[in-house]
Amino acid sequence: MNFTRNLEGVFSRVTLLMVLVAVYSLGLVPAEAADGTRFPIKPITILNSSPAGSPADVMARQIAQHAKKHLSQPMVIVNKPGGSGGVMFASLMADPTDGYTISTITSALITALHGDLKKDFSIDQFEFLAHVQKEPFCIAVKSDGPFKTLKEMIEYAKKNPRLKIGGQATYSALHLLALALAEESGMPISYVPYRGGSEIIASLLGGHVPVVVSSPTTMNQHVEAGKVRILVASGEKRLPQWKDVPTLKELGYDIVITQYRGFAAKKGLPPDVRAILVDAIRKAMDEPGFKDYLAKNSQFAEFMGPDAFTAAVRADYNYMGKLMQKVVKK
Amino acid sequence: MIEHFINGFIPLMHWNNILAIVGGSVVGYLVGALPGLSATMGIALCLPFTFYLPPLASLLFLTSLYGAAEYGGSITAVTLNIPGETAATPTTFDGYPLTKKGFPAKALGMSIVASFYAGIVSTIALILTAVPLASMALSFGPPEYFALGLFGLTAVAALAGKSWVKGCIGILFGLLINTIGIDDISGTSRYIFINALYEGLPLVPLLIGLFAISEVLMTMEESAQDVVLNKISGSLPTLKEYLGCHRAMVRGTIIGYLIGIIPGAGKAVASFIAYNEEKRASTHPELFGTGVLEGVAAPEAANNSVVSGALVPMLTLGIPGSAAAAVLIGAFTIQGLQPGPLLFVKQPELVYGLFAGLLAGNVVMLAMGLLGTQLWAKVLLVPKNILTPIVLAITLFACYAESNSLFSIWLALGFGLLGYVMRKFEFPVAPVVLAMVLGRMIESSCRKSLILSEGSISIFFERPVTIALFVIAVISIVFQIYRAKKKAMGPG
Repeated sequence: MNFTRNLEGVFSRVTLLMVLVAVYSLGLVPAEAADGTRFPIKPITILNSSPAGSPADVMARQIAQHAKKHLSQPMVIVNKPGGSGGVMFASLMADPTDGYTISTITSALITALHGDLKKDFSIDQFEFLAHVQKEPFCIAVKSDGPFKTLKEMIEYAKKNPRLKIGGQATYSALHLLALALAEESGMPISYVPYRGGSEIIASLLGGHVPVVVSSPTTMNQHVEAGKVRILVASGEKRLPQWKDVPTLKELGYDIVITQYRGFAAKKGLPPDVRAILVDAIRKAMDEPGFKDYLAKNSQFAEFMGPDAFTAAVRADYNYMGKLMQKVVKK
Repeated sequence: MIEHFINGFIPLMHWNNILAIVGGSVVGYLVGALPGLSATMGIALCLPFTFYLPPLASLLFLTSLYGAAEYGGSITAVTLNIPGETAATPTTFDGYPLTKKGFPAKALGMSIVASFYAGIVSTIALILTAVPLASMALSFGPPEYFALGLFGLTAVAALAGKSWVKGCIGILFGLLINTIGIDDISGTSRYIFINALYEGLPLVPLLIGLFAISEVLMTMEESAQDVVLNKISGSLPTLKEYLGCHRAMVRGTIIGYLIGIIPGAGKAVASFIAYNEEKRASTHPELFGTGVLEGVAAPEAANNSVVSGALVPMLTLGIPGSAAAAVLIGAFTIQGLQPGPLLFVKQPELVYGLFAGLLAGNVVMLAMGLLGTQLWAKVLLVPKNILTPIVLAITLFACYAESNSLFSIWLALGFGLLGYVMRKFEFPVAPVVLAMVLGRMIESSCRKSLILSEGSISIFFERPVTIALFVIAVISIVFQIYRAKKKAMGPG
């Protein structure tokens, strides 16, 4: 008896809570999305393969923050680091294809699909939603070092024992960039794989390797502090913050490699769900708060929808595959 | 600089910053005390919430958490023989014997005072020496890491217990299982039979297995005779005992600070080395492992000193000195800040506010630690047949929380069984942890060095720091052998 009464008490409290939640959320939800049947009716999970605070994670959190008001539901970032992205891929593939679990995707993850991960995952299992950010890589030396230009570096490398170039991880985009440049210019190199951006910069500033390949984000402040010189960047166009740094293409090397960050899902998303997600991401990118974050971090955004992004990812995947065959198989 | 420093205290008057420090300390204390939940993990878990805090409050919260977690790790190490953090592993060697003798409060009291002392002294060192010592972080290239790793392994001498051979077997076993996972250098996979092993064997489940679960299994055996510990003394160390450990605290603090500065060397290395050096410097090394207070003071001072040390390269160069500091960098980026050479110039108020907050955080930690000491000592009065299942459940839960995967629970159980068997045959388990902590650094830095030198081993003997480290390592070994020999001859 007593127990039943208690139970009733609990129920009425739960009902009250639900009413409260409903009233509260109605106040916040924009009118057009409030019909209840429309996607999304619960929070959306964004899986991220890098730890909290990494560039892709921060990008996802910014998008989530600014997409919330357009989706009427929060987006929650869940970090699944490890296994060159394998841990995150596995968990994306395990969830239903209903749009409630999506993931960030970066060029590094796409390149990793050529590596050991290809046993378990293929590019055909993904659907690419939106391209958000893009930046090239760069080749950097110490500003008090001997090399002022890429040409000087290559000439030196040809006359001396193998030039040591530091970068992140083996068979990564950075590794391939170094190998491709070595092959095209005919200079002998040894690649030294480090575990991350900060190890790379420590090794360069400490004089343990003379040259490194890295992302501009890692280098920006050290260039500004006058410790590091950038010899060349690997994008189509010059970087706005380094107008005087040439691209590899300008110098006559047929190498264009960029790092991009965007969103992907498991293949088979219902078209209307996909449209809502893509639209929310696009609107989030237009928010002033998002633009402010880009400016603070010297990042550049460029929206691409599913079709354009899929084509870009495919092209990058094929390019990296060819590059890998060309330079690694020897 | 003095004015910057004094100005740094002004933001501490804001209630939200005070709340951040107290909140961070409380969370850190719990994270530290929970075996399996590491300081790094604690920071990573709280990071998304700091997204909504102002920059200084967010950093104060996380750094207070970091410091308090390093102290908190010693609580279970002392009371239950289960290190709450990897870096608290050496604290078990003398902390737990003290508990067994009925003096858990003495060990806990020493641990909190050593942590507080190291926290304050190393923060002052950080304020005064961060900029000049930043270059030290850079002087460590692959050959230096290799030498440091080998030197770290010589700490096995202090851990091996009765048998050198068994200690070395533990080290070799640890190094062997360390090779599992994707090889950093060549990118090939080694001994990966299931996807979960891509990253290699994770340290946390291994630590939980070898220490916590094997300890639980051991206690289950003795629980029939429902032992000891009705005679728990709540007395803290006397002033004389504190002063007697002063040298140990100083040594621990210096070792921790210097190793903290070196990016990626890690806090566990610092506390292992501090324990080893303390034993070596001691006039009564034979008592180490039976419950001497210096054996608690040195590693505890070291692992808290690492916190400030790790901030040196992080704040001045944007290079994290430890895994936890790497996550802290994430907290900066989330706030749109960039730790590095320009931070002192562009945001001095933030940097000095952080320094002031570190000092305040240590005071909060001391207060909490002293208040908690009696409480934790009481935990031991809980009958073991009630306590051990709770410990088992909590550690397995923490293990799951760390990785979100069931695999690590199985791993922890497997290593628990292994740890139990090892203990039965009197193999010390700490050397396995030591080797796991150092193995990857030793292997990858050795191979990177050889790439740099094009295969010539002369690179290890050309640089002053490497030579110095090798010499200390050799002295360390020879000295231990000499002392063991002398002791063996002495009575005979």
